[in-house]
Amino acid sequence: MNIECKVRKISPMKAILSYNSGKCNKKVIIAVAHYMIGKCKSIIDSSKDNHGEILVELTSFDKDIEEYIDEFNEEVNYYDFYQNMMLEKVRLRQLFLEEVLKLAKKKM
Amino acid sequence: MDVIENKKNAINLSRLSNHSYIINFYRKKIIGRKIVLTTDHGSWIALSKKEYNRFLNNNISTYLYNDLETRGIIITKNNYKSIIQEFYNRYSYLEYSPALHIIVPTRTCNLKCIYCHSKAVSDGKIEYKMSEKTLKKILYFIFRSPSKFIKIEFNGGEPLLNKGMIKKTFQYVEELSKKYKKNYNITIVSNLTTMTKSFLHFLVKQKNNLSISTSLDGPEVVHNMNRRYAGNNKGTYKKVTEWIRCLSRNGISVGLLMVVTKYSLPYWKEIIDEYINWGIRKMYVKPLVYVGYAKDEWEKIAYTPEEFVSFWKKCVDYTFELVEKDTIISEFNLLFGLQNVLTTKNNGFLDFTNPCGAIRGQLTYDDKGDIYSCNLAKIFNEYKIGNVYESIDYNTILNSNKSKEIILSSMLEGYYCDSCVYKPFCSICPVAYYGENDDLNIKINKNRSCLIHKAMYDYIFKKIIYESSKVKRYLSKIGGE
Repeated sequence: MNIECKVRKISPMKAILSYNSGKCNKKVIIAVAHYMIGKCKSIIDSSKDNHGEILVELTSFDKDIEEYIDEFNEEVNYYDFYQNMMLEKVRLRQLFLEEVLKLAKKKM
Repeated sequence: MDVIENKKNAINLSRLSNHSYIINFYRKKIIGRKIVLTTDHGSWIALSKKEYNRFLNNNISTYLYNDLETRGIIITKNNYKSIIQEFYNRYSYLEYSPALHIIVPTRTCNLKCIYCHSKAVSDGKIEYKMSEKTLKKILYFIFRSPSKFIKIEFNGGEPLLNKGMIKKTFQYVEELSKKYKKNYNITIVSNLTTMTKSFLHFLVKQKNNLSISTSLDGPEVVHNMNRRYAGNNKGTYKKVTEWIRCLSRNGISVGLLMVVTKYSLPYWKEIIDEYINWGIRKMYVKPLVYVGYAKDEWEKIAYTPEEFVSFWKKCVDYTFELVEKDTIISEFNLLFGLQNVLTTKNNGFLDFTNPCGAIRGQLTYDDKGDIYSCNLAKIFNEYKIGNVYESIDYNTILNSNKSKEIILSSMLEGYYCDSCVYKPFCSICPVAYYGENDDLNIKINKNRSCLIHKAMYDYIFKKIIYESSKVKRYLSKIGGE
């Protein structure tokens, strides 16, 4: 279930993460890279997408890169799970919200 | 209930057969050995990895089925109405109109506390004091707002530097409450250092409708580092505690408030012991906010979110220890967190709701009659939403685009919050974020309070899951649910 990545550490401040594009959508990686703005620099290389690989070069501004690798990968898993859940349950959530609002209106 | 369509099929919930179900929307997080799932209506369950796999593969035991159904993690024909009811209950505070009205009778203060969020001025100039005309306008505005109960809080600057307006308030409020048939309470949040005997006698006569709160940051050594006179830079502990004693002797109990600075961090035990000595049963361990004078002193007084959480955990662990020995003391972040997780209702405390209590739960009025979304916002023009000389009534203010934008900015509906397992229990303060980042658009990944809330809820869930009997004993002793 969990999306895992292969990590190649270049230096204490830099690493390359490799994701299997069959298991992880590029949109998820982009969203997480956006989330990491201000913490570390993420360069996404999807030129090897055809070979089933998405590469992310992470560069830290301050801390050891290890901390951001964990955070990046954790976010990938969160976002991927959330995206799937959102798509599958969007109508269900909407419907419950409508019912709650109807109830609120009744009680007013 | 309408027909729900998903990708695979269409389901009519009221026609679901026995033991057939659909999985509700949920978020998840691994906490220790368990996977915690939470739903939109604030229900949750902690499953082992084995149970979770069975849940995903539609291979659950009757026992687990019943548990999942009771909690609304799965939707069945028996429980969907109760899910709607619980969802409504959790957000029912949204239907309340503002009961808390904070009045700033002066922006002047005789102290210069190192973390002052109010940016109080200390030169005593008359133009910073509220006039009677403005006060009347404010009170008229307040009593025409929809809430049946009105809580007026004097905040500052130091409110006791304009005692005349406080006295006038009691007089006018008495009349207005009869005219508009509303109950009221008046709270004075004061540093107490300018209290006088004659004003004390006045307050004693009003004590049925009066509460007083003051800041006490802990024992003398901590308090005096944080809270000092503007003129001579001396600490205020002696004067403050003299008046707490005096007020108590006269039948007016004083609520105590604290803010944590870097100086507080080594004194977690002494701070709690100090509060217990003053007879306090509930305390709020409040972090610094990067607003007002705190910005100028930030290098000296600030700490990382991790340092704050470590301090808070030591405080809370100590309160657990004390409560086990029948010394009753609880901490608000913990208490509200436990209530949010263990009951189907949000406690409605304005700092802990989604959206936060700004405008819909509270309003702040400064010395010129300007209306702000909340107390912390009163130094930012961006959060000014009207003036009592111009604004007709509360509904006009509520329906303005600016008010709607402010309320929207504290809603946890963006991806990052909506994907977080703690969303049903969490809250955010847009003003604190604005203070930190000069940005009205909250980027949650740069938010100190997000890190603090997450760590607090990690702690709370661990306590509930792995030390449930201790939590039950704690809640029953402190009188919680």
